[in-house]
Amino acid sequence: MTRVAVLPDALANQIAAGEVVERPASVVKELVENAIDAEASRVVIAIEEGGRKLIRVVDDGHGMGPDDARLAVLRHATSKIRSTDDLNAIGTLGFRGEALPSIGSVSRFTLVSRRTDDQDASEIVIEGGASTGLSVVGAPVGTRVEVRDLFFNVPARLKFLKRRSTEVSHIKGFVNDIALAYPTLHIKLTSDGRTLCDYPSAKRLDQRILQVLGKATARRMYRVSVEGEVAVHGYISEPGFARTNQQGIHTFVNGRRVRDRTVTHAIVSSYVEHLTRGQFPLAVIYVHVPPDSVDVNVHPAKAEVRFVRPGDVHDTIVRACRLTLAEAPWAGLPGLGRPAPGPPPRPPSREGHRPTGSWAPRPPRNGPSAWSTRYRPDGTRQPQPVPVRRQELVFQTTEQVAVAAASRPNRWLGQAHERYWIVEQPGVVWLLDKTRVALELAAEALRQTPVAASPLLIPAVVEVGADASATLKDWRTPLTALGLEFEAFGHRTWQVLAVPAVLSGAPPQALLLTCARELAGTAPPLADDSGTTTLPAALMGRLASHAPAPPRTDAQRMVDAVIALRGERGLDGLGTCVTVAP
Amino acid sequence: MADVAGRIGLEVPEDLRRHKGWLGHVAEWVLGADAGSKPAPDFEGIGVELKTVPIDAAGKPLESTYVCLATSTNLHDRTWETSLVRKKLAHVMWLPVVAQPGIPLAERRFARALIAELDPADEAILQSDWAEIVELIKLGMVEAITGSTGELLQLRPKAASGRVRVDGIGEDGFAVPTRPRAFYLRTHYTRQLFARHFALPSR
Repeated sequence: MTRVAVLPDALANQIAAGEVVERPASVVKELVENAIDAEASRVVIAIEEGGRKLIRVVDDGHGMGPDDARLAVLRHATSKIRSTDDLNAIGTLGFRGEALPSIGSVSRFTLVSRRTDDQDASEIVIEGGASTGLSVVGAPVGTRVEVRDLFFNVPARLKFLKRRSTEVSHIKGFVNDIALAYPTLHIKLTSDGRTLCDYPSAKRLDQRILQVLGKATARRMYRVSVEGEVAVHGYISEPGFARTNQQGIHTFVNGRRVRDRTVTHAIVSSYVEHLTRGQFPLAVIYVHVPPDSVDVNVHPAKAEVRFVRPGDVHDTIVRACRLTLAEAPWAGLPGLGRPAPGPPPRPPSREGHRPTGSWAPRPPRNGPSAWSTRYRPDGTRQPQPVPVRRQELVFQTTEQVAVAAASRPNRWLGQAHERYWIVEQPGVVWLLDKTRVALELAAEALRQTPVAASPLLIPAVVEVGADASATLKDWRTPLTALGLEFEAFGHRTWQVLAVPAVLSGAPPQALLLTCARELAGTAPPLADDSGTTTLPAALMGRLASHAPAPPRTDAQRMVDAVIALRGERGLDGLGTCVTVAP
Repeated sequence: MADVAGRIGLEVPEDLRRHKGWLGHVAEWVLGADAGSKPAPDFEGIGVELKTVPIDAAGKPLESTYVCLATSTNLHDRTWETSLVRKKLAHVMWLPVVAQPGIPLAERRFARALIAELDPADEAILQSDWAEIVELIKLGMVEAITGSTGELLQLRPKAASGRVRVDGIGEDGFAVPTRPRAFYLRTHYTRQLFARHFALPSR
């Protein structure tokens, strides 16, 4: 059998690349997102042959020093998270530390980076996963990454690439999306020397929408905005302006471009009364949720997210869209392409990836946060609850229970033959007749009048003889005090409505007939000062004999109760006692 | 049942196959329920819903209890507090009818009625069930809701025939024809409720 072995780093990186680097657009995505996380204000992308021959991304971000540059190309090396806590509230686009080594493992890769305060830049070259080490070069502040001959060493992946124009289209689609997500970012894309898009920094979101989607589209888009714990902003198209696919729907969650089913479904279903099946609206929608209520660590490409409460997100998007649709602003009011009555929203800010200005201000990403309870205004972390060591707690509790049970003087050990309870007392073991225990307790409870009544779900109809009927009529009031409630139900027929709670489950007909039999030929004595009529003591015993067999769950409680009731008599007469030798 | 129906001049049908809901209608009529088919509790003035529940001789409910139709669209602003399910179940007059097979309809009897307020512990479970079901409807996954979804509350198709369709939201967000569905209380909810308030017949 083949032995288990740890894979070499180069091979592990190539495997990871299978998920991270699907096509040239994936490389562009990873590199541009790194640039944004490096707080770049300008990103220039150049591609050749649809990205197969060359992908170059140049940014003016804060760059890296030699040590960071060296680490950045190692697997799972990242500056973006430090602990599991950070993973629960990710504020950057990247965080996995997989992208650069993955790309380097399937291409000829060059990274040149320089920090503002450094004189020189650091250059790292990797070819098919093998690094030639770090060298010092001259370069402007920021980072330049060149990826040449993508998949040169993985011919199988090359076969999956489409025509040049298709790959270019994917890259352009991504650039458009990222431009919409970051309107203040100047982003430019050239393909084989030809400029495909060049979006200068926009001051407002509507300006960026004009740049990316064009005036004809933008003028038919209308603003949506709902504030709250889940905030939704953006623009949606008028119902008469639709597409036959979802490509006009651009959605962003906390600044991250996503293709999330919940978000898209909410947008489309908002139009349910306006669009026929197969027609999709155009939309640029920004959803903002507390970072800890969304999991972006679902997929390596991070295109999918998972919301803690998808229903809330869905509701808010539908509400936001429907508010605009209900107002029907296209019926006379200006759209985005014409002068709007109020100031248009400013673009999402880079800090925390949230819109500012006319959109509700949000706290900075690392400052005191209204969303997060983990931070205090002074920046110190709130004390976390001391983790409970559950395992220990369970053992301790079980042990305590066991000790308490073992020290109990009358310990119920179990049941035998459905009729007997085995009870241990110091030096003896009892085999108790549980029906006698129940009878004795029931009889005592019946003596404590007034007795609680338990109404019958199905009142029981009982037909009796003339004498018994007369007896029941005479004794009805005192029997009611005993919890046995009944009423006339026709000639010599009585309907039992309730039974003593202690006899709940006993056949009501039998209880009534027992009373009629035991009380036959007698008349109730006059009531005492308190208005209570005393019932014959023997009747209690007779009625108690109908007590249903108690369940095991009541055993210990009933054993304790009967011993407390009997005092010095203990359990004598309730069963058989065996002395246990010490 | 023959007595009650006779008092209001109604003829007792042979069986309920073609007269589904007849028991409930008789009870509503005799007791003066006034909401009719409105989306409100049956006794609108006092906010009490009337629910007839067929039970066997042991007091065990024989079927789940219809609560109300489920809306398939416009659910985004609905909360448990404003939901029709909660409105209907907040105060209920439960009217069990001993109706096990073999007892002719005319001879069936009403058992003990119970007017009960929604128990807080039950409400927490019902709310959670409702939220789960409504979320699936909203997200276009109504077809993924099965009889096992929900601990006390369930969603099931309800229509005179399997061909009836209403507008719902599909998986892609578009309106799709779907079977009308309704909320039902599972039998163990009513069984526990009755056991909590009544002595059940011994078996």
